[in-house]
Formats: sequence, structure tokens, C-alpha cells
Amino acid sequence: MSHTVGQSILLSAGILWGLLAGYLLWLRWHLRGRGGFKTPGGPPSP
Amino acid sequence: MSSKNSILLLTSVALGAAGTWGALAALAPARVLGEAYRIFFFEFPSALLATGLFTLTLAAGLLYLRTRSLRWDGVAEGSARLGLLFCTITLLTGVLFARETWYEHQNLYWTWDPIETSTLSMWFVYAGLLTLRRAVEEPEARARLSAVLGVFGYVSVPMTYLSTRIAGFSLHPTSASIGLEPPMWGVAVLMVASLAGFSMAALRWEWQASGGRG
Repeated sequence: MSHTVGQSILLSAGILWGLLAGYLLWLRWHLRGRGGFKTPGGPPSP
Repeated sequence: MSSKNSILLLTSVALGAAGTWGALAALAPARVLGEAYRIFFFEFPSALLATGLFTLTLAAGLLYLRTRSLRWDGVAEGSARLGLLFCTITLLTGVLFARETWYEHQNLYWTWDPIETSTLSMWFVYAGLLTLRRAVEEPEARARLSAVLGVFGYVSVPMTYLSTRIAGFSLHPTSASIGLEPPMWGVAVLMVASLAGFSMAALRWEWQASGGRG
């Protein structure tokens, strides 16, 4: 595997999982901020 | 977080880990494109998910116009936002794929190929929809405008897939020209299932936050 191709492959994997993980973390924070994020056995987080 | 969502997230993580391992290490190089085809496993599932989520935006918009329930507007917004994320990933991984395959000898990333141009147009349609939502404060007006835009803007989705036929030329490869074999499709299915699971979990969070059950 040439150096450049290998870098592009790893960068592609990093873009997908990095942006998706970032979005899910942001969404969790965003929904908590709105007071609507539900946890089992208790009221929504403040 | 509900237990259903925890299971969904854990399953998606496991599928994604297996798919990524398959894409990066387990599979042999492809017959035609060699090692560079591995980028396909990050680009193609993202493009498929973007298409599915924009279709959900259309369906939720139509359901809002029919029922006037703001919960459907929430689904439309969540699916458009997540679809835009996957469309962004498709564009970014797509330029890397193009660089390593079509333009390998020219050191180019972007040449306004029909599929590149139409995918970017689709990105602007949904970025515009989400930007416009922020400009309208009244919830009913925002939902109505967003639903109408989601219906008309959906034209950009089939146009993206038909762009190469309409233009009559494209460097974008087909699965046959990449030289994909059955085990490679198996890894692609793992990746699609993983991203679909993450998407379902994210949309469930938003649905639950809007007062919906389960």
C-alpha cells in the first residue's frame, strides 16, 4: 500500500467515525439542554 | 438513555467495528482499484444513508402538512440534519476516493464531474433548508415552510443519482468497474447496518425528547 493511499483510507475512516461521534455527542448535549433527554426510571434531565 | 437505545447503540458500535476492520484489514485488495477501493466502504454507506434520511425528511414533511403535528416537523428536522452530515461525509470521502482512483496521475481532488456537482447541489439544498429554519421563529410557519422545501428540495436526490445518465458521462465507477466480490459486499452491508443503527438511535432520542413514546 503506498503511503498516500494508506493515508487517504485512514482519513476516510476518521472523517466518518469522527464526524458521526461528534454529531451524537452534540445531539446528546443539545437535547439535555432542551430538557427533553429521557433516562430510564426517572424524569427528564434538567 | 433508554435500554432500547443502549442496545441499538452497542449493536451499531459492534457492526461498525467489524465493518471497519473488514474494510481496513481483513479484505484483500480489489481486482481493479487495488487498495484505494477501501475508501468505498466509508463513502458508499454514507451516501446511502443520506439518501434514506432525505427521503425520511420528505415523508415527515408530508405527514406534517397532513396532520399539522409539530412532532413530524421534529422528525423532518432531525433527518435533514443527519442526512446533511452523511452528505458531508460522502463529499469529503468522495474527493479522497476520486484523488486515489480517477485522478491518481493528475493529483486532482475535484473536477466538477456530474456526480460531484449534483451531490454538492443536494448538500446546498438541505444546508439551505436547515439555515432557513433558523431564520423563522414562529414554529407553525417554520414547520410549514420547511415541509414545503423538503418536498420540492427532494428533487435534488433522484437528480444526483440520475446526473451521470442525464449528463451522459462520468468518471464515477460502478460496483462492476471497482471489481467488488461477495465478501466485499458483506463488509459494505455491515457498514450500512451500523450507520442505520446510529441514525435510528439519534432519531429516537429526538422523538423521545419531543414527547413521543419509544
